[in-house]
Amino acid sequence: MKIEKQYSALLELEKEINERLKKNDFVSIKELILWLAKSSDFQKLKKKENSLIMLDAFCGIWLEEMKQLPDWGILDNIFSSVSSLNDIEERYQNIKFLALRVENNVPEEFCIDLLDKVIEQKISGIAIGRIVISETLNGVENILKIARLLKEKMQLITAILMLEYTHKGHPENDDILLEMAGCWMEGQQWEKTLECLLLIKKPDPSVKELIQELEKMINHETI
Amino acid sequence: MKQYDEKKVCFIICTNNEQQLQECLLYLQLLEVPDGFTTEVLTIYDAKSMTAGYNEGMMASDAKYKVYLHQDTFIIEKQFIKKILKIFKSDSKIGMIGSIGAEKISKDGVMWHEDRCGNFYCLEQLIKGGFDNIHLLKKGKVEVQVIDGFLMVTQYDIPWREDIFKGWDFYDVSQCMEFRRAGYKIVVPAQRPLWVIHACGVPSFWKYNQNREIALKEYPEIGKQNKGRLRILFFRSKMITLCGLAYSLEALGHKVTIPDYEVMLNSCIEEEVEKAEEFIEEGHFDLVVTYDFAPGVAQACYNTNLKYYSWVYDYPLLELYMKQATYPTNYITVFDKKQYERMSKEDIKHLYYQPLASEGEWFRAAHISKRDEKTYQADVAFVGRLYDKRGYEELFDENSKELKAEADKIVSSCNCCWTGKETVFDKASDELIEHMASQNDAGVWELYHLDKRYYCESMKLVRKCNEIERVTILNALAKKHKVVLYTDDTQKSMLKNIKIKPWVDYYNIMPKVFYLSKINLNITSRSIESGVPQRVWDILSVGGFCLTNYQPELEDFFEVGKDLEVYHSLEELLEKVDYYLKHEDERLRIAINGYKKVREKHDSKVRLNSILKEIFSDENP
Repeated sequence: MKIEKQYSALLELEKEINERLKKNDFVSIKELILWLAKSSDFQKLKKKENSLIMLDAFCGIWLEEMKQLPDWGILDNIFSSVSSLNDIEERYQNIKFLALRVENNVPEEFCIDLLDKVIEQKISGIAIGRIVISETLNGVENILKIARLLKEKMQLITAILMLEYTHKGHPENDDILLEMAGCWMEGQQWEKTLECLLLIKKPDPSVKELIQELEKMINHETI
Repeated sequence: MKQYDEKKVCFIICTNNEQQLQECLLYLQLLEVPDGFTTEVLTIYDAKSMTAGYNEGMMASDAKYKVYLHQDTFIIEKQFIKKILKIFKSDSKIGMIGSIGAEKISKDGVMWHEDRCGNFYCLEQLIKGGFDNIHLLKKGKVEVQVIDGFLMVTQYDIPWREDIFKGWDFYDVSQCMEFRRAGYKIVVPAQRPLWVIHACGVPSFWKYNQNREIALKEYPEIGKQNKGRLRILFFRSKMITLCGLAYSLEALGHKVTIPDYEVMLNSCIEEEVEKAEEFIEEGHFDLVVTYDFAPGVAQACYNTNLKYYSWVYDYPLLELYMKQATYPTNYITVFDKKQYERMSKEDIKHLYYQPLASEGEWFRAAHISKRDEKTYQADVAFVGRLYDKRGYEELFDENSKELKAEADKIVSSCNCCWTGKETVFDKASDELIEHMASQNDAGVWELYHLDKRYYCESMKLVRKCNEIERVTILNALAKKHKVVLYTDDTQKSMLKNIKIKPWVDYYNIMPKVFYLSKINLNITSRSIESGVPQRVWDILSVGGFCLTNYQPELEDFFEVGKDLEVYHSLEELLEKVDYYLKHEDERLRIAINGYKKVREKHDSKVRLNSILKEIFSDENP
């Protein structure tokens, strides 16, 4: 498609998308995603324009969230309180900029500032995980740092979802499991903590000791 | 006369996105300011254009040092100010510093159309993934002609050209040209650790070309440099793995772009035409090149009035009989004089005869290991298809036995003889031709405007003849010698005592096969009536000994008995194989001569130079 045509197609697309985003219930978002899948203009342009790239990412996140969040009793999703492409951009950039701040050793108070915004917007761990990994050079390290900050704020479910998402893409990384175990432990979920620790391929002595203690504790509770 | 504060650095940002701006400002806040220096930040809202905004900021500040940056550019190097001051103080002629730049701007004005240097976020990762358009500068600094506008640092004020650049593109190229016209240098330093993150995502090009044209008009020196350096778009295809032409064109000094996209060679679909047009529009190319002929590419070139060069190395090539082959934007070379004669009757405006050539530097038998010697050594080797299972037998049934008998007689008539007179063409009766033609889908005749006779003869009879001859030759040789056949899926039952190995990788393994086999056979397809096929050039170009059937055009390029050897019949072939296996010195001498001849006179660069002169001659404006 020539550039001039692309541009006019883009303007039409954005107009239509903004119209559809005025409703963000489950059915409307599902219809939006189906419409995007069938739209040849969207398929051609989705990698050429930032607003569409972010929308595409949000759609992927939403699908993932619909599989997992209900099990956690979480009703909000990435499209909650989103009513335009500008809203998507704002949320997307909050996560991206948070990751960049963390990655570039910006003083912690500034990282926490932005993290607070992300929490306030009820953005799930799945969304954070996906955007941080795709947008930054040291994705996993950034995830671990953000997980620690979330833990300090007792945003444990967000942290765990984020770590679980990251772990799927990096199953060999024991640090992710360790951090996840830390979150479960903070929430006093001993069995879940133990589950994580047992997955660690090369547990050091302190982890082994913790595993033993947890096993004792769980057995004692069972008895 | 304006008084400048030599101990002040001003950051100037045009903005329309508060979120990005705040992020940018955060990083500025964290920069270390050298003792005695002050900083200021000017943000310009609602600028009419980048140039207008930057002029407003420039005029409003008395800082000697000005940093023009995008709102989505985050300066993460805390010592940034110290580093830029050091560079400016090292040479007063340095007027501007950037993060990414091009030593030579492309003649179409687009910065990334020539190689660049510098550093940016994730560059090292991208380089590992094969990205090679930006050279990571590890130390020192490089003088460049132009820098990318996301970060432009100056120590002198020169007005931005808001009189002509009224948008958001080419302000950077323009300002670089203004600085250079004023006699200043522009540099890109090594930035390790990284200085900036340009978190822009994908750039937009909606009004880019309009501004590009303005830039080329205002700065004609851009278009004048690299004038002889063509911008060439080379399309690969799924069917052809060769890439030597692209590298040869680069070696000739042209800028070749090979997009990550493969074209179809046997159809013209709308989607492909659109895609090709997109690439063409973005790249401002002088020429598009493919191996063989891609109708979709031809259509795109015709639609955009861009010259398209097709280097044909297959024969017959049915696509040359499609409507797209007749477009005046095409330049087509064929390598067989007889084919050229046939095609001259078609409505192809720019058709040329040009022999094939060696694939150049990238096709060579480098790094032969001991393991390679064990794997690929052979007395006699043939790399090629046997043309079996091509549907010949399926053309005939119980009711067409007589026609089959006629066809069998024709395909056997060449009888492994090559004197230049044997042919499969123009022997079949009209009845036989009609019968064979009727077995084809009617769509074939709509798609290809070619003679049914020629189609049936070259696609059916020739192929069967090839099969018979190749099987006969290989079986005859295998009675006395160790023969290795590298081929694709083939009926092994036809072959006796022949070691069959799978098809080999063209660039990495085939050269080794040719180099390590004592005798490399060429058995030309009967569809190539007089020309020299690619295999001969390939064998010679790696120093292999080539024993080929006679082709009339061979002696235009080689001395038989000196550069290669030739057989006219099966008997002669058997004699020569016997002889050359016993006379190693002579065989090696011939191989060396052939190698030298091809390298010196028949490299693809030689051919390409010649055809490019033709394509871009005054007769073909």
